[in-house]
Amino acid sequence: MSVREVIEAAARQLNRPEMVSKLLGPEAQPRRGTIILVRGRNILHGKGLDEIVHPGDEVCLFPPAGGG
Amino acid sequence: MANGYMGKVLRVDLTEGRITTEDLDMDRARAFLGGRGLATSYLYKEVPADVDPLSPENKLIFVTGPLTGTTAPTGGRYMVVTKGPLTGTVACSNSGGFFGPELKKAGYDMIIIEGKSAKPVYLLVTEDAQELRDASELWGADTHTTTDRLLQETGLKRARVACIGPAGEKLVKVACIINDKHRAAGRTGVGAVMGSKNLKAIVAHGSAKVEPASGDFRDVVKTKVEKIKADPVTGEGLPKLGTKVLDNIINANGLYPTRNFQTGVFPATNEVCGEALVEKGYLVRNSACFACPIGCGRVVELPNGLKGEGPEYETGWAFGANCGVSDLIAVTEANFLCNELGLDTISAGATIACLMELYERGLVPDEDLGKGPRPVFGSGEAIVYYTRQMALREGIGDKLAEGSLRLATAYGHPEYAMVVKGQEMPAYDPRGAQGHGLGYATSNRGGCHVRCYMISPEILGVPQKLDPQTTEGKAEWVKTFQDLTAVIDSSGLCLFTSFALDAQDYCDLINAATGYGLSVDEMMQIGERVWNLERMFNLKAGIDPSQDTLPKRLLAEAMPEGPNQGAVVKLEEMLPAYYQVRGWTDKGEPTGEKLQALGLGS
Repeated sequence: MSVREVIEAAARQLNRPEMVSKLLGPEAQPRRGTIILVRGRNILHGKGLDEIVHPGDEVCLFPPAGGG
Repeated sequence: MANGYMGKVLRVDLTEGRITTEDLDMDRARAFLGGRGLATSYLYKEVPADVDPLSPENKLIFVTGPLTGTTAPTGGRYMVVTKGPLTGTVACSNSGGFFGPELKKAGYDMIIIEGKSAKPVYLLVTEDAQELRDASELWGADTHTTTDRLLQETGLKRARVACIGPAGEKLVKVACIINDKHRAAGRTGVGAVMGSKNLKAIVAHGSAKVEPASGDFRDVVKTKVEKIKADPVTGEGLPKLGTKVLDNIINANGLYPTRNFQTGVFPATNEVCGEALVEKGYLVRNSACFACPIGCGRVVELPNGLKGEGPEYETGWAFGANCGVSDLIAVTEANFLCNELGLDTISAGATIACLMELYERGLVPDEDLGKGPRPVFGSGEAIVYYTRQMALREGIGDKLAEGSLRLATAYGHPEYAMVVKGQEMPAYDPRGAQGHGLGYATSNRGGCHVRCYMISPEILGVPQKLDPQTTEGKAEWVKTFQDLTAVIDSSGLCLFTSFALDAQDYCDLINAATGYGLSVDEMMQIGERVWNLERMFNLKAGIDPSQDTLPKRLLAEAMPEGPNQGAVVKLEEMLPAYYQVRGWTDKGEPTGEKLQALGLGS
């Protein structure tokens, strides 16, 4: 599955349709500051939402965050 | 004055017991803006850079910016500037809360503390009175007791207090200054400088108005507040989870320094993260500083009845993952102790982490611990016990009080101190973010994440996402972040606004307050001027450019696990480019040409 498909599947399973709009902006790309990691690496440095997720991979979804 | 300033400086000679008021040097204010820059310019002129930081010849400057005390979003910051005893560098510690605005309401932009009082005193600053009063009865009191008693003694219930606890009194080199009980001018030992002068506290109270230059100031503020509230970081992430929203993010990215930077992944992050603070029911509500629409502060109550604010991300990390501790109650208790006794949480936690590594390597004999618990990684008991020991200089606490580098050196192994220029590095392992490593190495006050928060682009993707493992182009980014941060620190605003605001936004606010009519380039040049002046002070203080480096662990020992497995910091690829971008010699010294261009040429 691609990361995009994982997000959509997770939103359905958790019954949280707003997950998709929170993580992905109007162009269906990660919103600024959204952090999506596959195997610890940010998808923006790979194939983006088309990055393929294999069984056993850890996918991390984080909203925009900041701190000190 | 209708330009954001009050136009007055209070000069306090503690040796003579003399207090005078002088006009603010407005040429200096124009060149350095305020806050960090302005006070550093006074320090540079008035204090020989080779001064002993804990001698009466050092000066301690409390300073605000032109936006402090206005309605500008987060306009509540003030800074404490001095020569830092932990590092021997220039020290500028920034704090929020309400003390800074109150200082301006009392009619002052800045207070310069000189000399040393023969006995403990506190300084009262109001519009009508500026006086030194006996503080002998308060000496030894923690910061909360001190604050309560001073508000009672002065009868000024709405006054604001900045004070030291026992740590500052005992010249602990990682002592801080606490204001409003829960806010800290934390780093570099500024609390020890205050203690060395026998100055226990400053009480400020007033009702003067801070007047901006432009009639459009309110409208400008409104647009920036809207931008901050609409931004997902400042409008949602920080208010909901505080800075501890970062624990899981930084851990999942594999740069969460664990067990004294031995690795970048902490398996028990779920126990001590920001979400845990909420899910375990310890978070009561968030709290905000003066004029702050973000509200990242955490008001917390533990099951054992202890209450306070925090822990923040850095504190939670310093006593948590960095000490291998997964007990959130112990971490929070250590945080409360730091606030009450007056310790910098980052340096305190990191120094205990260093002790833990030294102990586990068999380098600290058991007899040095007295009755204390074994300082092993994971011990919640140890982090609470040794925090108190450190603040009071009791037992091995006397060595801890000197900071991790002097501690590790005392046991023959300075390489286990995770410091830059003698100051403990904060909660990001730069083997996972190359640019952030360059920022650490070149920071003017030693190990510091806020001088140049490259985590924002490299990990968080703000303002854009950079690959954290590349080195190309990072020098330019570091310089820009350092210069912009210096502007923000000089303006009186909080750095967290930079997640939502850009350089033009700051320029709009500064111009509306001061009437300076700066372009963005002119504003950024102010930041560059501040950075170069700090560098000049440090060079004169004997801080050689060879100290623009990182511990050997980060340069030569590959990250052992996690997403950054195998990585080291490639500093040698970035540092020469940084010096070039700064317009310095290849040895890291500002050229005469650069200093002239910035108006710093002698």
